[in-house]
Amino acid sequence: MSPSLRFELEDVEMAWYEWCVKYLRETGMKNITERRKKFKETLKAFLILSPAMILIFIFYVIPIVQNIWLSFTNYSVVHMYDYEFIGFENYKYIFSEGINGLSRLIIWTFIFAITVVFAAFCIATVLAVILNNNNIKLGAIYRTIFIIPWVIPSVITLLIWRGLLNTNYGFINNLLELAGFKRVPWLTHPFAAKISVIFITVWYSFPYFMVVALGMLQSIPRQLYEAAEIDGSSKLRNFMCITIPHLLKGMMPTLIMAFIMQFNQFGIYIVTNGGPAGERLGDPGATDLLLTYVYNMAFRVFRYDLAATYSVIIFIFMAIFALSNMKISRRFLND
Amino acid sequence: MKWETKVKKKLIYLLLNLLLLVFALSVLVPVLYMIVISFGENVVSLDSGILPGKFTLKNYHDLFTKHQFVDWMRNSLIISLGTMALTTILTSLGAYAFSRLDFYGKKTTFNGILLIQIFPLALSMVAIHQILNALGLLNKIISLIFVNTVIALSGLILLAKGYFDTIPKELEESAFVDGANKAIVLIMIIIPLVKPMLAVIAVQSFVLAYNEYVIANVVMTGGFKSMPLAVGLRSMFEGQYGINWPRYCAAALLGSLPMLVLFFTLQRYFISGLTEGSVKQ
Repeated sequence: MSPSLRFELEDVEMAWYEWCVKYLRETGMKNITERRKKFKETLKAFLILSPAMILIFIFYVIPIVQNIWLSFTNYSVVHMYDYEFIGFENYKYIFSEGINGLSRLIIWTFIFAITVVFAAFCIATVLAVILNNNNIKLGAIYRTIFIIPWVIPSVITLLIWRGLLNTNYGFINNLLELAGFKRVPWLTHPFAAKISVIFITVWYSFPYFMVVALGMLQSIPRQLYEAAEIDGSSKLRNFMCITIPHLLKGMMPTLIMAFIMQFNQFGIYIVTNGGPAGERLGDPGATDLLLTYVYNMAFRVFRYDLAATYSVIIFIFMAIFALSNMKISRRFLND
Repeated sequence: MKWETKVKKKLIYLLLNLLLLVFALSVLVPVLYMIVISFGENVVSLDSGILPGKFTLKNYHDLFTKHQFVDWMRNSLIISLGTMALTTILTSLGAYAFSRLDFYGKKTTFNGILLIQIFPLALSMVAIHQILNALGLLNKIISLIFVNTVIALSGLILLAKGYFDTIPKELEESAFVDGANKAIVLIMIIIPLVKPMLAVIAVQSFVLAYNEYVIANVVMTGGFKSMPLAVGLRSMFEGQYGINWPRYCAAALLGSLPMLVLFFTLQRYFISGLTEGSVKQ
């Protein structure tokens, strides 16, 4: 046996003993009254929590279970009341005929979510750093202006952009024409629609990041910069080596949460209906995200069974993502 | 200082200001455009170019007479205020339990509630439609209040628990020692301390309910009168004759007002809630 391995074994043994001792201390030495107190508090806690839990059970747990059940049936507009269990038929259909659509959908959703979060974060960071600088005049006014997109209800924002980007009467195209350019089909050409949708989402989500980033910036200890300055570090170097790491570390949970939110984004449905439409009925449109596709499947194509199946697949995706994310964020938080 | 560095500094300063100005314009132009158009006269604005024409209040008048705008607004306010009340009560109860009580299954329950943030409710919209139908809650405002509360609960309980944790337990205990009973401790000590937190919860749940679109669209199928604002506004885009753009702008302006008012009166709660939530998550 090599010396290093023996050392490791001793290490493991020690850890095991330590853990046993700790466990015995925690459980074995607890006396009866303490346990009774905890039991009482359990009753009290669940009594307090019961209204919330009942609501969650009825409006969250049951729908999910029902959704999983529906994915194994042929519930659609044709079988409105006489739907029955058909096993894995829906899954088979999606993974054979619908596989092209599904993979395109997932890739586009990923691209959309990552681009939106990244762009919004970059813009927000730049603005927050500039605004955090005391030399800028009118800082407070700018701050108020930049918060506006976040304060307008999102549906209203989305619909305004839908009007502004309209090919025939939209403000943007009117301006372009006035300047001597051709009209651009912002929302009706597949690629242009993708760009527009990303732009609109960034437009109304960057203020949130900016506010958080501003808070973070103010929490960076001033001494760090002073010490760096004494050591002769330049401003740019300070920014790269102090500001950016602090911001990234502090905002990581926010960014991950934002990614999940964008992954489940529905807003773009309000702008494009998920279109420009695909070639056949039931194909995903150019800007269809997972959630909007589920919606279209259910309430435009009226294939409730397929919609339910797609959402189960998304659930599984999210579960994998959440598990890996938990590991990542734990690493980030504990350093 | 050498004049070269001085010029350089000035240049950078100018550049930064220019950047700010560009961003500010890209934020402000759509908003100002909406305001201007809503007071303009042109009817369909197909060939109107850019400027809105003569000043008029006709669009606002039409909004109230030709659309169910008042109904939408009322529905939305009822839903949002209802969600706000229910969420504030349930969240503070939940946060109290998770922060102050030591009970079996605490961690599991807490993580379970947090899961709602990751698996959005909107995904099971087909099932929700079915279940609400079975419960006889379809087209009822109360169902939207319940659903919005469930959505709002998970994120806000996390936030509120973090806040409760920062309040020292000794404060209550010393009051008990001095002979105060539970009600007095609650009213005189705990509520004043958590007031900022309650404001954050109230504001955020209001905003969430006011913005919610997917489930409202699925649940409220009973015609124009029962729609909340978000659904109603979108229905303006799907009329038989296309969109009346100036009229929509008027609706957008009026529809933004509640949130604008709420925001600028409670600005500090909006922002403190955000930064705290993000730090503690």
